[in-house]
Amino acid sequence: MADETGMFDSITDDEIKANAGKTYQDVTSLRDPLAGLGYEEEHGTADAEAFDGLAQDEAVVDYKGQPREKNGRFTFGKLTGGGSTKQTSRGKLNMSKVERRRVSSGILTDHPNLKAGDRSDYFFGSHYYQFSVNGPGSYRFTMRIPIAGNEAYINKVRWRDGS
Amino acid sequence: MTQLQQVLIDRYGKEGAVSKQDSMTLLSVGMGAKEFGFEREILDYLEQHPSATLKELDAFAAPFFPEIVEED
Repeated sequence: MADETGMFDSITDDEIKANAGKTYQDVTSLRDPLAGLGYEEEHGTADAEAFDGLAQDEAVVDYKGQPREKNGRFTFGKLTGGGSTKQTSRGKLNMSKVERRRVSSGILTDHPNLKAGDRSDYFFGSHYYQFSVNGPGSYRFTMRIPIAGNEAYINKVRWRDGS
Repeated sequence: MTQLQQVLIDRYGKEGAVSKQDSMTLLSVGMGAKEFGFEREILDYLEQHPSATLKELDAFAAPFFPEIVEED
């Protein structure tokens, strides 16, 4: 055939005769793990172990860090790379320029002696803030939590720190 | 108070006075866990670590808090 067509010179005439009457799917079907039909007919065995190396279900491959529910189902959370719930839960909380300016002004007025690097907290308006001091009047806010509903708890804790 | 807040007071507030840093941890964890929905994780941690210090609790809880993004 190679002489006649100038192609297929890597396929011998014997190979072509051996596959006469077979389609491409007949020859390659065992590469499809869902097929497997005709294996017994061709190879003379129905041993299920013979399929083990071929019929791997790629859909069950587990990804490290993929969050799962208690029943084992995947959640729709992000991949974390660490597998820990606490690493997936961190979101972002916006703090407006106006709010930052107001709270910063209050901190500077009430706590003028804070030094750069200090960490402290502050109740302002309807929120509780924690922050570190960059410099006089300049703060990096690390926490912002609503006060409403926590008054009893706040009073118990602050009574203990002498505030 | 929530169940977690009561547990925190019972465990860490019984001695009486607490330091400023300890007070900040109690407030942030007690209020933050309720606000940001990780009370179960903290309660489990406290149950599994009956001798955990407030510093250790603070370190465990820190990743649960949202990052504050200051808008320009």
